[in-house]
Amino acid sequence: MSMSKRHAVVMRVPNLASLWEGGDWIIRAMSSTLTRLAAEFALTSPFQELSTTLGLVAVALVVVLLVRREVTRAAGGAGATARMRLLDLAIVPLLVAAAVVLGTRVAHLAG
Amino acid sequence: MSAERLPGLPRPLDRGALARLGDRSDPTATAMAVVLLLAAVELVIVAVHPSTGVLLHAFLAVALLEAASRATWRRQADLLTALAVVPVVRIVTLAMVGPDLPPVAWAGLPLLLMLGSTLLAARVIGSSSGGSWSATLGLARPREAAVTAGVIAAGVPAGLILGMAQAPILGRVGIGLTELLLIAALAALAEELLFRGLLQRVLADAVGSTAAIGLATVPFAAIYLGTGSVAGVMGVAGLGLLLGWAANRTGSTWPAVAGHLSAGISMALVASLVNA
Repeated sequence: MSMSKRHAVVMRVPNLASLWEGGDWIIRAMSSTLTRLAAEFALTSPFQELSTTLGLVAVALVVVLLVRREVTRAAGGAGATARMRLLDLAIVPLLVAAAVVLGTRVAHLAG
Repeated sequence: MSAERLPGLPRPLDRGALARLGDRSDPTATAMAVVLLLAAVELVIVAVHPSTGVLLHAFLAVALLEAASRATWRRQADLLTALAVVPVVRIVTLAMVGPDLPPVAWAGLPLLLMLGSTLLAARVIGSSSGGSWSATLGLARPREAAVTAGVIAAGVPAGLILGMAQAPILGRVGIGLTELLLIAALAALAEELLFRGLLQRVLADAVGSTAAIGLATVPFAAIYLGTGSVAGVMGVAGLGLLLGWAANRTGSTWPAVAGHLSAGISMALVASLVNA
């Protein structure tokens, strides 16, 4: 990645220094999903960047956890079911998130 | 060979004892270390880049789930399981933010998934301790009605201040009153069940109720670092401590949900009026 492109990517995301500038002593959130960071990230970042960076991590993690689950299931033994249930609590929400990320990506490509 | 050992010589390596070391580790130290790590990753999200933070959250989630599956001490396993939910929901929260989705979807859907993860974790923890998921989350009738009323009343002025401040950004995002009320209700339920219901109660079981209120508040406030305001994060931390105290005092998570909801509704109404 060239320096100018890298700089442009960094500039789109508010960093801590810029957020503290100007004595910004105001509460700006109603939920953890609706903070200024999330809103600005959604409003200013191109779809490609969001889908490629954050979505990729979510998809990669769900693949890793699904492989781990299958290894646990195949190994069997005492506590295998409990371990799989433990992994499920991360797999289920991540699978839904991955489906949404991939679905919007496909829709974006189709559109 | 004589069983008697000379003083000063190291004991022979006991692999079994080493394997059990994690189970006997101080739960307070474990909880503090993980909570500080979660806060540090939230700082990375804001200060470096969201994708770097999400990657670190992924490593943390895998490590916590792996440690929880290997723990033989129930409280340690429960603690690690509850803590693992936080990085998972943060990955979901940030991965689903997208300009192609309507704001109510990228703000509301992650909250639904947060709720689902919390319920799944409560089921896992409840089954390991022989209790129900609702008991794990503290979904009992609150003991002191006055505390609940006080928390609801305290939420109203907090929501008014929040609404005045939040109106410009909500106007930019383009969220209407109905959607705001929906998000406020979802946020109150999902966030309180996770932080006060699951995390605080599991922490209280491991480290005591007073320390648990503080420890559960750290990740709750840290996920609001994205507000971009130091005072905002401190305000959220103060609200978290109040809601944590109310949940502990009443023996129920419902007063915390009610307090969070009153703040959210007041905020949505004020933000909507300002934008109108």
